[in-house]
Order: sequence, then C-alpha cells, then structure tokens
Amino acid sequence: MAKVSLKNVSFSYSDGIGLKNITISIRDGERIGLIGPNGSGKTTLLKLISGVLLPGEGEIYLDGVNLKRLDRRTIAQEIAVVPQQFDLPFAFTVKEVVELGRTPFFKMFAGGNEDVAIANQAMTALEIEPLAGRFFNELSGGERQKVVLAMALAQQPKLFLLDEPTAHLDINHQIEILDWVKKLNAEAAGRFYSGNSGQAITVVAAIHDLNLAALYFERLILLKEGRIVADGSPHKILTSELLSEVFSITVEIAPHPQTKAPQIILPVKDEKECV
Amino acid sequence: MSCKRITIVISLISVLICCMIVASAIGTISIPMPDIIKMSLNKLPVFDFMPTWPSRWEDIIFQVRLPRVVGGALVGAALSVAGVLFQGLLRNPLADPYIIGTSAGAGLGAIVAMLLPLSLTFFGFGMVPVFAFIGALATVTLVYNIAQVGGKTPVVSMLLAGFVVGSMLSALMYLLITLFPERSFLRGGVLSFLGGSISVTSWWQLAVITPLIIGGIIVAWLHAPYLNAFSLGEEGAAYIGVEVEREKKLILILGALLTAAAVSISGLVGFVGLVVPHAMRLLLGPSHRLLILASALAGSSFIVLTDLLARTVLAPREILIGVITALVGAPFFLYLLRKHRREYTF
Repeated sequence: MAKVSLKNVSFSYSDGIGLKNITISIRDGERIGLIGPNGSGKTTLLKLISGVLLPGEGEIYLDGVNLKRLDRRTIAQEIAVVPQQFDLPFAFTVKEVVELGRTPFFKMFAGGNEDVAIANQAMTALEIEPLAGRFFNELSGGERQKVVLAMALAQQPKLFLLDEPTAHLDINHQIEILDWVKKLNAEAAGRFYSGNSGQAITVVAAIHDLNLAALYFERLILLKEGRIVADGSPHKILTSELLSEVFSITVEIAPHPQTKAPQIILPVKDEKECV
Repeated sequence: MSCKRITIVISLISVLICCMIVASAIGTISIPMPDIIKMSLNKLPVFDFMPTWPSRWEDIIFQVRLPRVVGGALVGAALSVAGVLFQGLLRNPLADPYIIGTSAGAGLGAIVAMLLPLSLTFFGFGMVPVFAFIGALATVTLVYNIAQVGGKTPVVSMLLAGFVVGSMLSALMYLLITLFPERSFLRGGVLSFLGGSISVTSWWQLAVITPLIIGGIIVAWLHAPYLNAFSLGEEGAAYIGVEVEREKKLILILGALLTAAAVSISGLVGFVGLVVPHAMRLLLGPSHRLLILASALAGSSFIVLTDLLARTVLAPREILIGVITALVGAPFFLYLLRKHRREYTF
C-alpha cells in the first residue's frame, strides 16, 4: 500500500491556482525530490501532504486513511516537516528545540522522561550532542539545519517532508545535510530509534538545485505552474527537452563521472563575448 | 522536574513568603516579624505559641494587612502569567495584557459594573470581576476576529488591532468617568483605579478571584508545552501536532480571565505583565513550564513589595502602584537587558 497517495488533488489560493489535478503515489521508503521553478507549487504540495492546507478538490490518503479525518496530533506522530523558515523569537537551547519534536506525544499528566531520552537519541543520531546547551539562535546555518533535522527525527516519523533543506547553506553544508537526509531514509530502522518496526523513513523534499536533486534522490517530480510535468528517475526527468520546456533554458546533460547521474552543464550565452 | 528547577521554584516561594512577612510587618504600627510568623503558624493545628503580643495586632495582621498582601500577590501572579501567555502565543516579547487591549477591556467592564446599581448587592460579591472578565474576553475576541485574515491570525495585525481597540476602550472608559463625575463609584477614587492600587480591605473581596487566578495558572502550566510549540509560529506548531485554533482560543481565554481577575481588585496596574516574564525569561530561559511558575511567583513578590512601597514611602499618602511598578521595574529591566543582551536575541 502506498504511504501517501494524492488523487486528483487541486488547490487554489485566493489570488490564483496553486495546484491542479495532482495524482501521486508515494511508496514506503522512497526518497523523492520535488523540482520546478519558483512558484511551481512545491511548497504548496508539501503543505497539502502535511495537512496544514486542505485540498479544494480531490483526496489525500496517509496509509489508506483520508488525511481530513486525522487530527494534528496523529498526523504529527507520522509526518515530520522541516519548513523553509525556522526561526525562534526566544533564546531556546538546542536541547529544548529538539525536545519540541516530542510535542505530538506530550501527555498532560505524565512525566516526560522517555521523551527526554528520545530527544537525546535524536541528537546523538545527528552528532549534535556537543551543541545541546548552546542557544539555537547563535548557531551557524548548517548547525541549525542539523538541529531542525534532529527535532524532526525526535518525532519518530515515518515520513519526512523537507522544504528546501539546503537553502541558504554553502555547498559543503548542502552536501552534509543531504547526506544526513539520505542516511535517515536508508538506515532509519533500528539505528535511530526502536519501535519503527524496520521501516525506512520515507522522504519527500522540495529542492532547487537540480544537480543535487539528481545525486540524492531516486525519484524526481517535476512541477510547472501547479501541474506535474514529469515523474520518474533522474535520468528520465533531467533531459534537456524537459528542462527547456519547464525552465526555459537550454542546457546540456552530462553523466556524473562516478554515479552516472545526469548533471547539468550550464550554457554560455555567447562564447565570443566571453573569450 | 529537574533538581535545578525545583531549587529555583523553592527559592522563589521562599522569597515570596519573606516579602509577605515584611509587607505585613511594616505600616503605621510596626509589628515584629517573629510575632507575625508565630501568630501565622498558630493558625495551623500543630503549632501553639503563647501570644506575647496584643490581640489587636492579630486583627491588624489578619483583617487588614494580610488580605491586601495576598491580594497584591494574586494580582502580580495573574498579570505576569497573562503576560507570559500573550507573549508566548503571539511570539512577541512586547505583547502583554495592555498592548493587546485586554486590560482596557477589563477596565471598561469593571467601570460599567461599578456604575450599575446591582454591583453593590449581588450575593455579597461585586459584579466587578464578572464584568471585567466579560470586557476582557469580548476585547480579546474582537481583536482576534479583526486581526484574522483567511482563517489565520497574523501576529502583527493582532498587535495593531489590539493597540487600536485598546485605545478606543480606554477612551470610552475616560468618557464614562467624565459623564458621571458625581458618582464616587470607585473605592479610593477614579485615579487609583486608572493608575492601579491594591484596593483590598477584606478577605471577601478575594473569594471570587483567588480560585480563578490559581486555577488559571494551573491550566496555563499544564498547557505550557503547547506554548513552547507556538514559538515555531502557528504553522510550525501545527507541524508538531498542536490543534492551533483550539489551543489559541484556550490561551486567549485564560489570558483574559487572569487579566480580568487582577483588574477587578487592583485597577490598571501596568508594567508587571511585561517586565516580570521578560526578567524570568532572561534569567531562566524561555521554556514555559518553568517560566509560568517562576513568573507567577516573582510577579507576586514584585507586587507585594511595590504595594508596600506605595503605601509607606509617602505615608499617610498612598502612591499609585502603577507609578512604582514603572519606576522600580524599568531600571531593573534595563539592567537585565544590558547584562544579558547577548542571549537576548530575537
């Protein structure tokens, strides 16, 4: 059974169309990259899957249950979201931020010792224990993103939704974060927490960098103006024809020397002028 | 709760008890503190000290000073926790019962209740707390609905709407006061209501608001983890499992209730709801379980002490407590802000 399935989902913002007629089936353990120009609907799609936006038409199912029927708490026990913007108005420590990930399991009249232990495991998993006592707002961008990942991991989710997890990071940290995402997806089973019953964490991430998308995701969904243009392996999606149709650019595609993943070679507009 | 937190809470409780004893001791007649401790302990069945003090002193302590001291402590706790609630919910350290108009609403409600003849004769209780709560809740609901855009309530529009509605309600309050100058409807006069003053002269006046304030603080404490979640913004809170609209309504109602309970016995005391949560957040961090308890206790001590100053500095004249909270609180707050500015980043 599909982890998440969207059937003919449409959504419109008050000022225009957001998404039109989206049908996707996401299987357990998949690692999916959403690509497309700005405003193509990547973030909207993630918000619909996480249930904070409700589809105007069509239905979304999580493990076969209509998302509309689930309350926030149940959804948050299944799905963790790493949003594009993550800022805190007050000086929380890293440990406190990671413990926020336990909110969906909070019981009003019970001690939270188990929650503290799970939050600690999540910090260990991402190797950020040395940061535990630091203030979140004083960390570098790369460190922050790891803390946010640890917080999401503390939710013990089956599905990770990431919105531009590498935005505003330098190339070194972009790779580090995506390596972590890949690891969480591949080794989730007993490594990070018990009780997962051997399932991998399914990952759906919106990502701008097409080369990174090809290197780190096994399935890409290409969006344009709220519609799915193509859905498949990087080899199928990253072709010069599709990219010129969607991004209006002319690019060449070359295989990555190690993995053979398609990589984009950017065009030079006028060779004579540059030489 | 960890060891560190228990230590902090116990120290704050001790500070509050000391403040209450000192405040009970000082007045036109000074009563030695050991005697106050002994006569208070005598109220418990296990203690039996020989009274070496005139029985008149017991009347002064238990019938005159203690009701006022306890009233002050309750006002301080209520306003501080209301401040924590509004600041946490709106993710804005500038939000407090005054900024978002709740106090003005409670104040208008209280004044209307005082103008109505029934205020004097309702089962011995004034209608003031009830009207203050209605005013505060109506204000919060109004502000909340004005600020709402497409099912969401952005913080900036909430603060702006709160400020504007609050100003309108204050204007109405002044208008009512001007229209009925002959009615001396406020104990201690209009000025002491507007400037704030702990007008408690008997235990009766605390009968209604005590359970409201203590109950309100307990509910707030139970919901503290959701307030932490609101630090991520409404959408962020939803992502970690908070039913945002339901939780937001509950927090706003609690804030209104606490504000109204305080306003009904003290008038409009400013600065506490802003400065106490700030100070506690700087000292102890923003995590709400501890913050709510610490702000309640520190707010209590703060008002007990400022009320002591208010009635002794220029005795027999009383200074408005709002004047003292601002004059004492502001420099203290600036000192903290300066000392801890590195941790105080938004």
